[in-house]
Amino acid sequence: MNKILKIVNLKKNFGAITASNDINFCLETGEIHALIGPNGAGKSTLIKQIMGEIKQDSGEIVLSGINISNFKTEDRIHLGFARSFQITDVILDFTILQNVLLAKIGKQKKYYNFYSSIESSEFSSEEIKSILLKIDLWDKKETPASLLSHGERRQLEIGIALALDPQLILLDEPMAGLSLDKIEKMKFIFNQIKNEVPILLIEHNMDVVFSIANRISVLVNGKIIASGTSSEIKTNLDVRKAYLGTA
Amino acid sequence: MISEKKISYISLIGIFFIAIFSEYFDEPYLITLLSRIIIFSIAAIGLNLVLGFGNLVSFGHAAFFGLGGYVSGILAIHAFNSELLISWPFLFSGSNNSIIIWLFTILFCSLLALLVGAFSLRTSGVYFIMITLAFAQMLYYFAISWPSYGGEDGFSIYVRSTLFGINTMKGLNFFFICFFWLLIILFITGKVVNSPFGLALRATRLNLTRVKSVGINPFRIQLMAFVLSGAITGIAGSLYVDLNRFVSPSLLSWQMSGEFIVFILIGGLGRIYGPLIGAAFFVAFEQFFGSYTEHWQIFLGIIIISTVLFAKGGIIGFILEYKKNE
Ligand SMILES: Nc1ncnc2c1ncn2[C@@H]1O[C@H](COP(=O)(O)OP(=O)(O)OP(=O)(O)O)[C@@H](O)[C@H]1O
Ligand SMILES: [Mg+2]
Repeated sequence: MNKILKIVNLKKNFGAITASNDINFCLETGEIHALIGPNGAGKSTLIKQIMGEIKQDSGEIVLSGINISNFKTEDRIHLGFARSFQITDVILDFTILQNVLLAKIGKQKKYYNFYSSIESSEFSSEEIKSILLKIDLWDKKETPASLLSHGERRQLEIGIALALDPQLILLDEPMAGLSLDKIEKMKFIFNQIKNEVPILLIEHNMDVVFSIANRISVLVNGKIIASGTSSEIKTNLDVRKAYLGTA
Repeated sequence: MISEKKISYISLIGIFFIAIFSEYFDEPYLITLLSRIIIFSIAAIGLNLVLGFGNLVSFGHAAFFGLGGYVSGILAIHAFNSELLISWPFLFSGSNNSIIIWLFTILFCSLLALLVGAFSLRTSGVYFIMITLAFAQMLYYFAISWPSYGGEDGFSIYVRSTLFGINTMKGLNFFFICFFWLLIILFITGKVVNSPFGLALRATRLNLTRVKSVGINPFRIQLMAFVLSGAITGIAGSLYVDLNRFVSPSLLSWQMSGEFIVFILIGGLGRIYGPLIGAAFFVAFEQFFGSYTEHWQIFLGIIIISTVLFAKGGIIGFILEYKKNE
């Protein structure tokens, strides 16, 4: 397996709160790596640091051998990072297609193109179609995001991330608040994607985590207390004590 | 079915034929009025690019209108008097060639917009409004206290600039030039708004974090839009000075900036043809009620308040809504 993303001795404090306490972690090709942990453990903060939205106090973030610890978010996105937000953040006045196109335009640096129509073939490519099919929103592509259900917006977020043609995807609780059949749909989507793009998945639903994650890391109070396969984590005593609540 | 497109074409064709008929029935005043409508709408189309599509409430677009006016006026008056404008690095005594005047206008207004944008776009909301206003006011007071070019009184340029030997002093010919500019500007803004750049610009209006998270720097997008916007409004200023053959600091006044915003609100915010409809309505309204009472702006105020309260899409939005319910 190939380590795409490596995090080395990452530390971050907010005043007295330790959000990242010497985190070491890696994401490998072809995997869904779940990051679990109680509320306030520092999961979202880790994603923000990986994206460069907030700066680590110390430590390194390395993408395919390049130390990107001091890169701006914009540059990281162009290198291949994509994320979804804990609180859905699609552009409500835009259609599904426009939301995905915007990401495509951003990634391909086409945003200084003043003359082509976004309806032209250049932009309604097969690639966009395959993304929309993957997230199962092709039939609704002209629907404004404001008219979508919560679950569909979550799917759209995945589509936006895919349109960035990423090396890896960071998903911050993409299934929060979804119905059971929507969760099944998401699981299906993730399993499809992971072979092309590895996924770091923050998720609270243990059934989901155990059923689709190839590896799991457990974050408690900013510290990774365990890392391993589903069965390893299920049987890990520390995890059961700290997180699953049983010993 | 009535669509936005149809309303737009009808108004364009309407204006064109009213001008032709005015010539036929020998009503030069009406032609001047139509030219004014067109020039005002070009100015507001420029503003609409940032205000309507980028949600950047510039309250200082008179700066570009006025700068365009002064650049054109100064070039023209020097050419008229054969008076040197600069003596280094080469001798240059202005120009009365429209093409040259427009190029200078675009250059200067783009540079000013780059400067104003670079400062003001670092802020947002009320601060953005205040900074853009402050820049325009600075230029206004500068113009007032600049005796070489008339100070408070402004100056006359006597003749219009020339274009391919057309007799521009003839009202209808000048109208055609303005009309042609309007078509160009409508074409450009239509293109830009539907381009990848336009999509990014519209996105900055709606959701900045999302724009950043797809690798787009919103500041640069907004700055580009601001420059384009300033250049377009500058062209309008240039045409306006040529129309009146008169340059005055009032071109730079905050009332002017305010009127541009009003055209957009009345016509329809964020609609390509909104400013045209708004400016036409405004000028017609001013003519009609202005001939009854000098307090016509009270009625205008009522109209503005009602559009903002009851017809957010302006006149265009209102017509579309009304037709839909029929
Ligand atoms: N910008 C900030 N300033 C100060 N404290 C912060 C900031 N962001 C996060 N924190 C704190 O850091 C800790 C980790 O927060 P984080 O959002 O990363 O948790 P999380 O694991 O994502 O939790 P949840 O499961 O609730 O989403 C929390 O105690 C939070 O209050
Ligand atoms: Mg979180």
